[in-house]
Amino acid sequence: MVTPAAPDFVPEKLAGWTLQRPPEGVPEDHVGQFFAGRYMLLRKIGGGGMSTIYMARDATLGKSVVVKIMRADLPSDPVDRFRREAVVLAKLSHEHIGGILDRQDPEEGPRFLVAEYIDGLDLSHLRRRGPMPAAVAVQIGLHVSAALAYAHTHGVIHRDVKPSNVMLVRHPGGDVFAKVIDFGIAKLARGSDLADDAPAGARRETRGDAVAGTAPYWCGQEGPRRDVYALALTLSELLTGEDPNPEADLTRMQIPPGLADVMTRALRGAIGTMDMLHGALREADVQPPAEAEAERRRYISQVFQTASASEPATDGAARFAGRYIVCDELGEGGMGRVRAAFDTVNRRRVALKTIQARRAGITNLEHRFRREGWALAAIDHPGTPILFESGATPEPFFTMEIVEGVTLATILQAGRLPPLRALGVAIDLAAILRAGHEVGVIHRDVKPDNIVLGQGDRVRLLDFGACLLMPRFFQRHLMFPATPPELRYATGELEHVGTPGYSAPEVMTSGGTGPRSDIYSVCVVLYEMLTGRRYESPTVGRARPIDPGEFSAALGPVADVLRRGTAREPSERPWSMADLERSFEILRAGAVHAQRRRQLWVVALLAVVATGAIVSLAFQILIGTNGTTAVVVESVAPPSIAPPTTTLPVSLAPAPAGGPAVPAVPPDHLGPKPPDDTKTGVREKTVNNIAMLTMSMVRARLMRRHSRLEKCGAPLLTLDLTIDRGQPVLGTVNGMADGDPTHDCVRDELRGLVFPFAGMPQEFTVTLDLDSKVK
Amino acid sequence: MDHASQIEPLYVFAVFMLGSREAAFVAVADVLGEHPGASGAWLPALVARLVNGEKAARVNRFSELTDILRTNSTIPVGLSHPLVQGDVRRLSTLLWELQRTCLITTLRGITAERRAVFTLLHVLGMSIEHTAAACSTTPSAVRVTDIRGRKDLANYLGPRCEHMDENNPCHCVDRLGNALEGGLVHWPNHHDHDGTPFSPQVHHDVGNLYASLPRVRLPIVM
Repeated sequence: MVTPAAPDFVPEKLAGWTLQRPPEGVPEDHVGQFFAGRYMLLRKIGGGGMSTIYMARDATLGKSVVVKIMRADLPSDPVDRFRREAVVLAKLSHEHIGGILDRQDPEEGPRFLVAEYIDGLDLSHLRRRGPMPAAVAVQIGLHVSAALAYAHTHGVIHRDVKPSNVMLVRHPGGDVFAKVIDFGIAKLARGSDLADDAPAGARRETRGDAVAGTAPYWCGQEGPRRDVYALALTLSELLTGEDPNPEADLTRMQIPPGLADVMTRALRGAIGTMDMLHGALREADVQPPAEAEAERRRYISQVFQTASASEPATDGAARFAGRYIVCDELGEGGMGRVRAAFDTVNRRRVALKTIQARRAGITNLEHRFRREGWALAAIDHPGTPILFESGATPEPFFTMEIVEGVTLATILQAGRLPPLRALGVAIDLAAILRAGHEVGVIHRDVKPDNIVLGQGDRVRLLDFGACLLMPRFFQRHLMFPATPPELRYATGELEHVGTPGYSAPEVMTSGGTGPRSDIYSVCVVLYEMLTGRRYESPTVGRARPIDPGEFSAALGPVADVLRRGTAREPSERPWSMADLERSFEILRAGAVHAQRRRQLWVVALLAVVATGAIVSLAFQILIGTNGTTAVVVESVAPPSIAPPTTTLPVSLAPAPAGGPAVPAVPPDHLGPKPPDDTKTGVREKTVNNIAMLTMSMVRARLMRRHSRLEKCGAPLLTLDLTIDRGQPVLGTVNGMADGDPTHDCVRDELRGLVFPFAGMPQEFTVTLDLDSKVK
Repeated sequence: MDHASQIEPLYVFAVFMLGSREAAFVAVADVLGEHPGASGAWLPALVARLVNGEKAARVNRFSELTDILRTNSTIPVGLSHPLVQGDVRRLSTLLWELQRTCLITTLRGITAERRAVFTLLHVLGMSIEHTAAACSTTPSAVRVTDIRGRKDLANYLGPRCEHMDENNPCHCVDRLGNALEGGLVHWPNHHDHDGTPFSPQVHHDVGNLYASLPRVRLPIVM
């Protein structure tokens, strides 16, 4: 029964006390709120850790607008950028630049900027449709180059020209025009006529070490040339329908030679100003006007027809599939669209996923969509969303639970995570993927955007749209009757899925995808969590070398684990997700231990300081009463014995080349060691735990291959192992020397196994009874 | 110009009509977009839009509510419940939320016209004449519609709800567990409740009962 209000209850009138506060460093979500006495914030359409962008309805004008709200507690850099954007947009007036309607820039309180809402499609959507007709690309190029040339004459460099920052709007007459948006990282050149109105911070020179922009649209140069390069790359991307590639030979593709030549020259730096690019594009537009016009209209008509296909109404009248009231947009990806809906039958809120209207009917996408539903239904792990229902009417859909929390990508915008938290997330993530691998599901698109952290850092993995179903999926014992091969939605050889920078190389090249592909992604995500930097640098577009110095000493050989996990060759990565998970567990055990040791030393240090203070105070009192005593005490005052924090023990750093690692040992003068300390400075219990885990890894690896080992004719194996700098060194097997077939066979099976604690000398014996396993 | 005072009544009306804050917010925004700057036209347009929309969607929600709440078994909810977290104030909030959600769901069991008139008269406290203007009808028609709507509600709530008669079997404190379990009530993501202790009061008139509910507030930032 419900307990009634307690008699000593004192009502507190605290408006807003029921609201959940977002985690530290994450902007509040204001969807469904009335803002600044004028704007109804309808849905979130962008943003990150610094600001959030909403589509809103302006109550005064009755029109849709975009409201960009900045977090109030930001340092000066992003605030200056925000001010610069406001100044630039307020002053620039061009038909191909999205204009500003309102702004507020108070010293205290939230800053916001209101711009016109452009009801169109951004070019990144068009790129996914395949190659764009040259006539349309030229028209877009002319519009954008005109807008940017105008901006350049006012000393404004956009610095972030890319497909998603150019909107294509359909004119009522049927033609289209392009608009450049997002001047968030624009730069005001020295001497710009706009600089006079800009606040001091907004006029500041860009720091030399700060790189702003988006790879690969940044050519490494500043000034107008930067925008020229980015626009040329954007247009070539649209013309080819492929990922941006500055090295691509455009003359070999189905692009008019004149246009290909302009793009190539612009990408190689031969075209230095936006005016020159505009002129070159105009000259390259050699297609007969009538033909170009027909091609343009046909393409535009197709694009906007599919984009505005019937959508379920959001009011209370319409029900999707007869039972769901669609409420709000939750997100949109390359293939699917997720909306919040209310299930009127089961009286609960659900996430309703459908294929984007403009991409409906594409067979391959529908297969991928159904594959996602199958994967979610198959994986039995609390880290994946629960699948409620799937159906095909009125369109393919499935409903699942709404996952509450914040994406890891949002959290990482505020900086790296503490090592223990990062390892905890990585372990949970590996466990989710392990559950998937066990039923034959490879995610293939593990990245921070698809990882959600809920209350208490509960890790949830979303978006299995790119997943691959392995043969094991269809061979599960519950699959009865067996799925016919033609319905297995096998992955096409040319299916390009995943995200550059996070997906394994073999995923991006459609070759040899397997469980180890997800291992690569997990390691990349862990690297980003620990360092706050992308593994594949956005500025140089290639993987960073993993340097042990980047990580806390308490993490031990994490660099070694990550280096193996991110090996380009899948066979060099850990054997399975379970192996990787165990490696992370071992790393965490070491880090926890290190942290405890550090805390112990801090407590000891504080105790010493406190004792010193008490002694000092006592003698101060004595000075007041007896000066002679004070002189005596000064002469025997204890020396400072507090060690600097950096020299505290328990660092399990990897060994230097050529010799075993020697963990830092507490200096002898710091007092007696705890009774259970070993010579390595690590408690014996921890050593035992780690050794047991390591042995279990060996055992698991060999038992998986027991059939092969059996052929060697040794049912009972006794291995003597030593770990040297992370490499297992096999001593003897059943007393056999090196060269014996059984010995070599075991050594082969151990190759590639991860032993994270390279710095810890470990010698142990593993006994393996193959007969008992077989029985 | 701050439009909050003009928009809040529209929002409250839409919440009572649709039973969903999200859908209500979108409906109000749509009306603002259809009638830019004409604040006098907003309420009649919203009424027309929601009444017409709800006509097609009417289902028997009385039975849905009965299925969720009024089962023979009850699920106890005490201070140890995860949503209560040992805080009496949070328990009161859930009870207020349950009372209001339950009565709004009940209201959605009557026809859209009666619901609109009832909401305008008793929840928003508008006069017969203003209600008639908002509904584009005559005052006498409003009176008739109101009487019929109140009768529908009284017939359902009269023998069941503790807020109509304290001897009735359905008590909020007993039904909270079922409501949470069935998804009828969630922890609120709005700031309508200020922690006032839950105190069930008896109103023999359904109009007074609905007028006494915690006010639905337009969520405002800045």
